[in-house]
Amino acid sequence: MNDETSRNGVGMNGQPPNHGRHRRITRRVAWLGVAGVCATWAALVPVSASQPATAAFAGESEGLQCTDGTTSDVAGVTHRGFDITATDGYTSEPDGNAIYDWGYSNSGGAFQLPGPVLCAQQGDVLEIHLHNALPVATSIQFPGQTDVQYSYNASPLAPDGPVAGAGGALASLVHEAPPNGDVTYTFAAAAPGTYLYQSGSDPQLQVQMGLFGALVVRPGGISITADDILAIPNDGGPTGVRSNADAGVTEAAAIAAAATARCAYPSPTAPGKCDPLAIYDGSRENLLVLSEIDPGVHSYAEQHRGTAADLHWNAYPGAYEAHYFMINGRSMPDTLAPNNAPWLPSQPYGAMAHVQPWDALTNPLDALLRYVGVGVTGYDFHPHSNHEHVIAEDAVLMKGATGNDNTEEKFNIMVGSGSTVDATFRWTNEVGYSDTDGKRVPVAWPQGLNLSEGDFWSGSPYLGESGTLNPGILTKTQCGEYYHVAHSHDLTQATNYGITFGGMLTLIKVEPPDEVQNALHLDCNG
Amino acid sequence: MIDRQTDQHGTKGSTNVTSGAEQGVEVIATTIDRRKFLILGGAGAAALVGTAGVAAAVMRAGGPTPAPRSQPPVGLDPATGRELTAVSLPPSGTVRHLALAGTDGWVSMPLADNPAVGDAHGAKSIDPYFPDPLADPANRTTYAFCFRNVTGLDQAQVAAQKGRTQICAPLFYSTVGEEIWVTLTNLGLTLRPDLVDSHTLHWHGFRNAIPFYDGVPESSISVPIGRDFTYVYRPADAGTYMYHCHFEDVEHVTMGMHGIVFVKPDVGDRVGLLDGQQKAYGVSDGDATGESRYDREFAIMLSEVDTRAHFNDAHIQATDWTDFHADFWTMNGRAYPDTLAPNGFRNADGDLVPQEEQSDGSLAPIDLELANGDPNPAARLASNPLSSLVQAAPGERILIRFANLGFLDHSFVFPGLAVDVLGRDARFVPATARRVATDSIQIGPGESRDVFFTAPAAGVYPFYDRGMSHYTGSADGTDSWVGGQRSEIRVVEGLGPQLKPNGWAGEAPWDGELPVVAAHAAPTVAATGARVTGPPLSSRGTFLNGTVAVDPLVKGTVLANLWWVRAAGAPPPGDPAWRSAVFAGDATNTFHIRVGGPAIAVADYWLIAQDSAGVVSAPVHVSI
Repeated sequence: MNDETSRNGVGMNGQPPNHGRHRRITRRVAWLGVAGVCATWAALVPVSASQPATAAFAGESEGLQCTDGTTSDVAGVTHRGFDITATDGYTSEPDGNAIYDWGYSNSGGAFQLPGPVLCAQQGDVLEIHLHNALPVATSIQFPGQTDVQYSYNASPLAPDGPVAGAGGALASLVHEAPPNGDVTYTFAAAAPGTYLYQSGSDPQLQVQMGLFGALVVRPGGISITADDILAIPNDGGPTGVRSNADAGVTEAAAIAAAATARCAYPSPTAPGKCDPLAIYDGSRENLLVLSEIDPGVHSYAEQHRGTAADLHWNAYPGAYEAHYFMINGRSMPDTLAPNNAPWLPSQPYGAMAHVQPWDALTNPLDALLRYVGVGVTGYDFHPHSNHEHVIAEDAVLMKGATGNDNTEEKFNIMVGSGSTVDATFRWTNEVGYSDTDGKRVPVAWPQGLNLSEGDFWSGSPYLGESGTLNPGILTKTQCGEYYHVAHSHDLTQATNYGITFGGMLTLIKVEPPDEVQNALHLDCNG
Repeated sequence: MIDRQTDQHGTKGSTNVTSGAEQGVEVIATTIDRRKFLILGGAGAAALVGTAGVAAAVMRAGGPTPAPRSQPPVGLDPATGRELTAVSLPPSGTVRHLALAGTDGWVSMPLADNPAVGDAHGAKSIDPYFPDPLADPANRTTYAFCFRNVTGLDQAQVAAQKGRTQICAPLFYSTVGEEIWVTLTNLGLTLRPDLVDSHTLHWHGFRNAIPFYDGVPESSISVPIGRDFTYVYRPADAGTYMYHCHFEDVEHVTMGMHGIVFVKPDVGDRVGLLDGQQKAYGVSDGDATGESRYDREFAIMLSEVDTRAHFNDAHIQATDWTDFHADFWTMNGRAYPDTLAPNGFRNADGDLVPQEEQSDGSLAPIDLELANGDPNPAARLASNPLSSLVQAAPGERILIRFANLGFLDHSFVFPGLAVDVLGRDARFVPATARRVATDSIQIGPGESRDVFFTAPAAGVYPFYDRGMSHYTGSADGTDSWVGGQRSEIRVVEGLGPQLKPNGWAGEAPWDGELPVVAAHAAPTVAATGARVTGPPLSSRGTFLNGTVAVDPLVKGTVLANLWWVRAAGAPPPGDPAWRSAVFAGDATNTFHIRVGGPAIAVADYWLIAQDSAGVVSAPVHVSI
């Protein structure tokens, strides 16, 4: 029993006497990861695209990470080649389980899950060479692409399509590479958008085993000007739909924004222009490939990997029941780690969206989220903190030919099985809570010992401020940034084999605006 | 933690009132429109109105001085003797307060063995999970924990509701621009004292939320047992949302902690209404012509019950949540045929009481106990208080707000009706993006839909989840719908008016059901000093003992903060000299503060307490 039943230092308002003093936090250990997979908090925090920072390891980055392939000019048309190997390997789950998978690796590189994010410009001719290092025949199907052709060993291109097996039964949805063999698929990336690619061979087993990836086609011939930025619709609440200009975006802000703006879909009505709802911040582009794992299936494939005859869906004796649910091949908390984290050698893609508050003068662009649904069921994905604006499904802008608007803001993103969804996101400090007179939260804030504190809690309700935490804890954030979760709202999927706060769950990191960081010498990304 | 041990072992004896603290009444009111409100950031615009005389010290979190008074006191409340302040606020400018308490208990799914249900309407038992053999009272079947609406109850009444949960959580709502404060108290779990889970309130879909009020325990704070926290919401967008506990979400949500919250458009934003009608979306939401107007509204929360998981929680067993298999498919926490039963209500003691429909259509309470004191089998739905029956008069415009916080997709069909889905995820669906009238809706986990239709001719129109395999079927095989999501729209000529959302015709809100304007007195501290020389040695010391009373009117839960200081005079609130202290998380807020050894010099001590709305007591003096 201690001498006193109280502790010093908590002010009457539930805040520390020194509240408002902004601590500068660098790479101190703040959050020890679950199951030892995540080494330190510092390792979890990605580098801001807007701030130069020293990478902790080679390839550290955040957001969508493209594989661009090799390009060549053929009669004025860009041909883009990708070299992919279907192979096997292991991925790591946060509970310590190592899962045997199949996957597409890039240019003979190490095994990875999901496959490389293939990026192309609209109009490019894609030549995708698949080498099969698996014991069973496999292939790549490109849902959403038309006029896909195939070729074996430089044979003439022929239209791809279903392959009949013995007795006329369907052997594969597309032409396959036999074990140790090769096939090349060729098609023109005719329409921009977010696509899935996956195995067209025994897909119940092979897609479940990990043979899938994302393809991003960016629109060609689009220019985004300051005027385009000013014309972006900005739902202003009481006055109804208004433009960015109405919302206070200045010419100067628009010029600055246009330099980093990127287009997801062209306007259906104005040639050469981006659709106003499809303009986003090129440094805030994210990919979320949603998938699931039945460890029983994977264990079966691991045990039978020497017996090709056993490696098809009909041979699997069990009943399908998924227990791991992933974003970009990772489960929470691994979803937070940056791209190419060395401790996740087979799962190179992070999934933490990183934004700053929307601001008319300094940050008038939205982030973009590209969802890809790989599972056998759809996923209902719930981003906290604000609705997302769903602008496209299955790589089709949700507008009619005359531009009538079928896009919608949703607090729950339904990503159907085999579908893709593109959504823009912004977070605004709408109420304007801040640690200044008249803007503080209006109710008493119980002292720390009367509350439970989370692992991502700054200790302060205010963005950019680190408050006092319970004894022994210095800080859990870097600069008082906000974290909001985004997760499957089939909450059984936001678990690691049933253990909560895992699985198909990631965080949205809202950090203070650049100018606030600079003025207060905050280090949000160091 | 040493602090928390003190909390648990606090001494409760020898308490003497040494100081009659000043009582004050605060009315927290906003009288400006929403836009200014948002511009000003709310806190500064929300005027704290003190009372005449020596008002209790008032402090807002983070605010060094009380905000200026804007309204004069108007006299004494004859009921309480307290001074009141004029409250003449526009509907869009009030601050409303709701008190929720999280606790566990027993709820009822339709069981054939229950004599009040019978083989024709009840489901077969599922050994050993359903009915749970521990269920108490015996007319319940299933363990659950959830939020209870304890608005307006005093602390003893709130504490008495520990172990008396309900499923699903109470419905609440606000209006655009109308600030709502929701105090969440964690009463703990009676059946599982080993589970020291905190609770939170996550308003699912609230736009531009800050983590402080988002209720995600990992990225914010959560409420331990015996403590409370007040969430503040300033809704800016009309629509149907939902709320749930986010602490170990998969478990807490499916155990019952999920409910509907909706936001009505600002009064000035409603156009196109006929007499007596309301509107789901305003002009600013895109409804310029009044398409979303309605005469009656019903909110229906969809979920599922895996009796194995509920059994496991009651029996200290772990559940693999990725092995979820629902046995019952629920609407507002009930499975068919219970969905058709009337709403329950909360009586003056704070207990939930079920009702039955009389031959004249009126509702009458069902006795909770039989004459011999045994539980009344007919009262088995006391803990499942929310009806899903939709009543209408021919030609009326009806709104059903659906939300899904189960883990499965649901497809609802309305045979014979043409329904318009005018709201999805709390956004008005503009005409360009709308389907023509349909008779089915799909709704996934975490989604909401606002479904409108015009009531047809008098008759009974079932609506149900089209997932036929969901239905358990009655024990005797006569009713294949039992156990699932099925209800009815009953269209009746000359139906009386609806007096509250989800209300049956003529059914009035019960006391405390709707959030009340937040006006309440400061907490009062009663303290005495004690010098204890032992034995045993471990009890030696000089102590401040006492209790804190918190106004039962609205913030009637537990205390936010307690401070003490050794000083000749009380420092002003907020002075860093005040030292925080712990207190018991029960109705008495008992404290037992050791200020030193038994032989320390005589000195003056002061205590002050702060309730969860920020109101601070008058300082209380003790000399020991």
